[in-house]
Amino acid sequence: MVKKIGDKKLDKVKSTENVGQVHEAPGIGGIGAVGKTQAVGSTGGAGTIQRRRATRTMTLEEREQLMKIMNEEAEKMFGQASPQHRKIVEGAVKMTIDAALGEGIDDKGKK
Amino acid sequence: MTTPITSEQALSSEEIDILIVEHQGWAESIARSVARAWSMDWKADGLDGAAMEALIFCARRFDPARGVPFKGYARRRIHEASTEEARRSRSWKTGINQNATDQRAREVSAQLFDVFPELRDGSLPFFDEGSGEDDFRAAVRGLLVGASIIASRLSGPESGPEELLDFKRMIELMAALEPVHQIIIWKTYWEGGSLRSVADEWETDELNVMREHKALIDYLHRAMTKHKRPERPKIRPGLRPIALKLKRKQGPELEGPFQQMMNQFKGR
Repeated sequence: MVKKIGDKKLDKVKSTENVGQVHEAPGIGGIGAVGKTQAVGSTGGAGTIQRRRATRTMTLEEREQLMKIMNEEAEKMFGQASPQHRKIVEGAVKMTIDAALGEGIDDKGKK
Repeated sequence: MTTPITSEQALSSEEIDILIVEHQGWAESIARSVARAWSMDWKADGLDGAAMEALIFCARRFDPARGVPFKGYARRRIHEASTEEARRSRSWKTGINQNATDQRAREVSAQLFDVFPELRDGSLPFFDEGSGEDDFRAAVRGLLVGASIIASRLSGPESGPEELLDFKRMIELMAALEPVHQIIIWKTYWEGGSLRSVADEWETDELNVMREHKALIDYLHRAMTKHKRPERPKIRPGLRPIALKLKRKQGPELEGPFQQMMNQFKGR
């Protein structure tokens, strides 16, 4: 015979037992002495970071100029390459410039 | 009175909240531009949440006493969070609304950000002090050459006849370089490392590797543009000790990874 779920009815709740007592927490052992610190290495000059990577922030106005230059340069570079390769590379650079421009291009989109 | 929650926080909770609210629109605009460039949906693909999480993370750790503006401090991390989320999304993996060429271009674009992390700050690589057209041109050439190397790697030797020819041509150009130069390109473009990690591994200044990388990109550009192959770049003084060490370790017949790849081609 298959026993159906719920065949057995629950009795009333039996009385609960009281919790005995809360055990005392053990004391914290001694804390080790703080180790000696070492001297901080010297920092580079103020201009060091700037010299690390010669970069320049793009602006939205410069985007069109960049795209024009990209087409000119791709024309020179991919004379021997397949049209497929050129399309992938040009597409990738265009996507990269657009994704890097960020808020500038987005503001234009909203206007 | 407000007090910092942890010792790591330089700002109070209220100041952090203000920073987040003030920059929310800006962080979202970064996520939107990434999504638009890669033909994705910034909300459906989860870029909005990733950008917001990165903004909160940066706001909690921002220390105005360091003298760096918040946007300058947070932009790279927010951009990176957006692009990483995009790459993890379902539409990226399945290539919905994208043909094979666009999908490949998007993958190359994503990897360009790994090679040129300054792009995440909205900056162009290889930019000298000036702001003339020559600098724009140098930056665009760098991106085109970088994208070309990545596209070749992604196509691989097992692709169709046209792609195989492109791949072989690119490998041939790089195989002509000094072994130490080949290793820089291999580690950065093939293994997905950064110029900094190469410098760390070789225990040299990052600037040495960056200058060498720029010279290599210039050479590859000239080699791709002109019919006659230009003279290969010499090893700059900063990297000569590394090149010598590699030769001592692997013997005078040391071959770069692209040379080895070419030998495999010839052996086929």
